[in-house]
Amino acid sequence: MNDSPAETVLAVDDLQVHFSTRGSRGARRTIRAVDGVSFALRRGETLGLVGESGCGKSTLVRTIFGLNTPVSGSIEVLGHRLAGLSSRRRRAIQNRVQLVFQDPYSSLNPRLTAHDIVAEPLRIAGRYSRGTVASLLDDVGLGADALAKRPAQFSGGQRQRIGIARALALHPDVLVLDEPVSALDVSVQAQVINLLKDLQEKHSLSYLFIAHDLSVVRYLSDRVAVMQKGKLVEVGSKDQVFDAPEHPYTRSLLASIPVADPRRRADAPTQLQES
Amino acid sequence: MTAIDQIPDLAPTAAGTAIPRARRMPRIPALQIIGAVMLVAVVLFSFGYPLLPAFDPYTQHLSLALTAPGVDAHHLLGTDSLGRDEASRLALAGRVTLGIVVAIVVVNSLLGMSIGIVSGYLGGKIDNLLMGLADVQLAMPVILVLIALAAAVGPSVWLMIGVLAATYWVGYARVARSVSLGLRERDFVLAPRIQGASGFWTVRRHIVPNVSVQMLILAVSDIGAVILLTSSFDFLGLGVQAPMPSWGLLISEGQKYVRQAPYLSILPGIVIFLVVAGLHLVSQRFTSESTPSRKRSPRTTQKKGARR
Repeated sequence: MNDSPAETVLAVDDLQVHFSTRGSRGARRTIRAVDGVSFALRRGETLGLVGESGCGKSTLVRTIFGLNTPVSGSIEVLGHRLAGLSSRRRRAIQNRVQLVFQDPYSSLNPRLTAHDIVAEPLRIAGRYSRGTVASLLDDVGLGADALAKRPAQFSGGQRQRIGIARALALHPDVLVLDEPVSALDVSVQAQVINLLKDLQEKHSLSYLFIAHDLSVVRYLSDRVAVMQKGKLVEVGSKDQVFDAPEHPYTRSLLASIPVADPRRRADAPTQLQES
Repeated sequence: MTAIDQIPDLAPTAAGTAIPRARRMPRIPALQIIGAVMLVAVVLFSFGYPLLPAFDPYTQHLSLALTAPGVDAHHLLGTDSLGRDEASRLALAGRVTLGIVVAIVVVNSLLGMSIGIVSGYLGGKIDNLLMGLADVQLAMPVILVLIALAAAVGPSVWLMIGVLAATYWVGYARVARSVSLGLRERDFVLAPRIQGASGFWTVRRHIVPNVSVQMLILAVSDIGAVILLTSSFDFLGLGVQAPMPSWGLLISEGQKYVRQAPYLSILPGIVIFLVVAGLHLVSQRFTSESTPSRKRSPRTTQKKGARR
């Protein structure tokens, strides 16, 4: 990690989230879904978090948003430790971090209009005005004609823009992007990623960008953290992780990136893959 | 000239490829039209006939007792054993029965929906407790309970409504629970939770609207069953009490004269059949409509076509 004077907006320290399950004979088994994860996210920075399915990324996200209770460890937002706060204060601090969901098809209530979806966080916080909603949608590249439409009338990319507008409604400092483009077409992915880059500059946002598509992570991230079985096995700058991976798991992840040009493939492709 | 004329013809055909698919959507199967006609006929009769001057369900013309239908011009559907106009009594019975049934179904669905949503959304111990209660409820023999209570405090309409309203919510609660259990982990329900919404807010805005559609479908198909049930209770003397008529009670009264005047039992029987069968036919449309795969696909095709 390089030394930078920038303020830390989100810090996770030695976080442990466990689930206990009961086996067939009644014996309790503890699953360490998040096992001692620590990282710090600085203002304006993008931290890419990669790892295979089931490695604990989603549990980490749910814990940051208070949907799971950690066994130990702490989450600090703008220097405030969430666990020790009164519920009202905690809400105010918690709202500095917002989430963009992976699946734009299930993250928007099909019965509500785009206006009502984006207005919801404002209404919850008691800060609703029609103009705010319109300007939020404008921010993500959707015009005034989008306001009265329902999710079914939008494409996947447009829906994800609505999801981003909803996350931006309360002016957060941090956006947690839970695989925000993995459900989209490749052509639309690029547009959404560029939108995210623009928004980051405009609002000086920090991103915790969770993905398994390593090429997208490389494009967007400043630093990359690699997660395996609930632990961060490697954290470093983008170039460091991609060009000189230290951990064997990172190396195998990188080796699994499909390369379009067969001659550039690192490992010799088999006949089957060629055809 | 001909070549130019053909161009406008070509465009509609190309765009029209989706039309036969879209046209298929609004077609209502004949059975459902028949069902709706049956329902509307009974409802119109029950609520329309009392508006006519001929409506008189209580006056007794003992000299005209047990007149068969079609014999007396003033009593087209005949008279009962006390000479009361059978058509008027059928219509009034319809209002009474339908009113009772709708009241029971409304109370049951609201109660079941609330219990089911609380159970499914909160989960954990509360869920176990409420669903345990539902199982106990199912194990309770409703008819025996009603007979026992009727013996203790005397039979009345209100007792029947109360017992049925207190026991028939289980079906609604189970459906509401499973729907809200599924919704609870959906992202669009998590989003307001993450953004600080209270449980009440989330339930009201995102769970109730989605559950209530299911409740409506269930209620429509339940009305028929409750009509049959209350009619049986009336027949047994546990529900509506004479001289107020209900369909079940009319059958019960006519039973004594089934040899001299079979129409007294047959007419209310036909009316019950019309409503229950009509509701069944109509509700089949609701249940197939609510299947998402069927409902969504024609809509999306239409929209895509429109956007172009």
